[in-house]
Amino acid sequence: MTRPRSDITRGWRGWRGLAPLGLVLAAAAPALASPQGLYDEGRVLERRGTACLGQADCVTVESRQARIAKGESTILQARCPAGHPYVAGWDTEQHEHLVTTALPPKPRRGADPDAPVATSGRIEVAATNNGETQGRVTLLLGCVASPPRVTAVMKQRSGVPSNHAGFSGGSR
Amino acid sequence: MRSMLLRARRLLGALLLAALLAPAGAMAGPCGPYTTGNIPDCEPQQQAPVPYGILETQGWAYYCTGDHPYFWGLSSSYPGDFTWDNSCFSAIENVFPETTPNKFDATFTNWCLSAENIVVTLGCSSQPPPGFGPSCNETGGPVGDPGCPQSNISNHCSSTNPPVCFQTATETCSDGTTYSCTADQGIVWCYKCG
Repeated sequence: MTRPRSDITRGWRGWRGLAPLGLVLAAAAPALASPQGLYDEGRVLERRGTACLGQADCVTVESRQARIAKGESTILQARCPAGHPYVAGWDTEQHEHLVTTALPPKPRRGADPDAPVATSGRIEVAATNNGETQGRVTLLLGCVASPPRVTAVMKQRSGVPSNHAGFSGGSR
Repeated sequence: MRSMLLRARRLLGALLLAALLAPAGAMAGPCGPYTTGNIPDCEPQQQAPVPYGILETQGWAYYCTGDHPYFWGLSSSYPGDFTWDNSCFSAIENVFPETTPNKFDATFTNWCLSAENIVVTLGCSSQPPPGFGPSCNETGGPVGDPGCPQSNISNHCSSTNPPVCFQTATETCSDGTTYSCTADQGIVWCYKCG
């Protein structure tokens, strides 16, 4: 039995309404199909030398490696040695799915807010895990013997989500 | 014919979108020229190269310094008061953390599949941006420190370690002349107030 043409047309028009949903699903397919999520959680962002960037007679102090569970954050600390008591900069070696952020020095109690900030030989960096698995991070602190004259300060470091960007290379 | 018209309309649409997305202060370098007017006494200050790994994002605070310590930037309606030298990178200026008038704050991402360096150049002025600084109707160009008694001394320091600081003050001489002065990294210069 042949259906009237109008029925066929109506039927096709009915399915046509689902076309936008199909397009959305097709666009999202790579992400949905990826078992690893957004991040390549094996990729490590290597140390880049920003701890002592442009500084002469600069020594690097390395913190213990921290392990951060999924959804967790931690604060890393490092302190300059007595012979090189001033912070020049910082660097990390961290997994792609971690974000590290330098925390501002805490003001001294009762200090004049307009007075120059006293330089302390330590730094605190918060690390947050945005991925699905544990991540590891090591903080590197650059230290110099006299107050450094800098015009650039790193505040944050993170990786672009490799799986989202379609990247499949890099160190593991 | 119809498809040609459609293509032409699409092209026009793309051009309009590009024009809308282009910064209002479209410029050739960090010191302009700008459609919003020029930054007074602006000089480009090139920063040290910063290394980035493959597909990596870093947030940095850069500071104008020396006798041109002021960064006007987006908060003063000067988008693009900075340039960078490497097309592997995208940049976002973060206006809200720019809490001192010498500071440029931005997030850069290296999208290339190779480790890359970026060199940022800021447009820096000897004059404070609108709304900042002592109430002084500055006249003439910059002059050296007249050495008169100081008042309204303010230190402007970043909340970073290491800190980046500069100082502003008003100097009033015995003949009643006042100067608005700035000191940065051992250099002091002043403007006569009218």
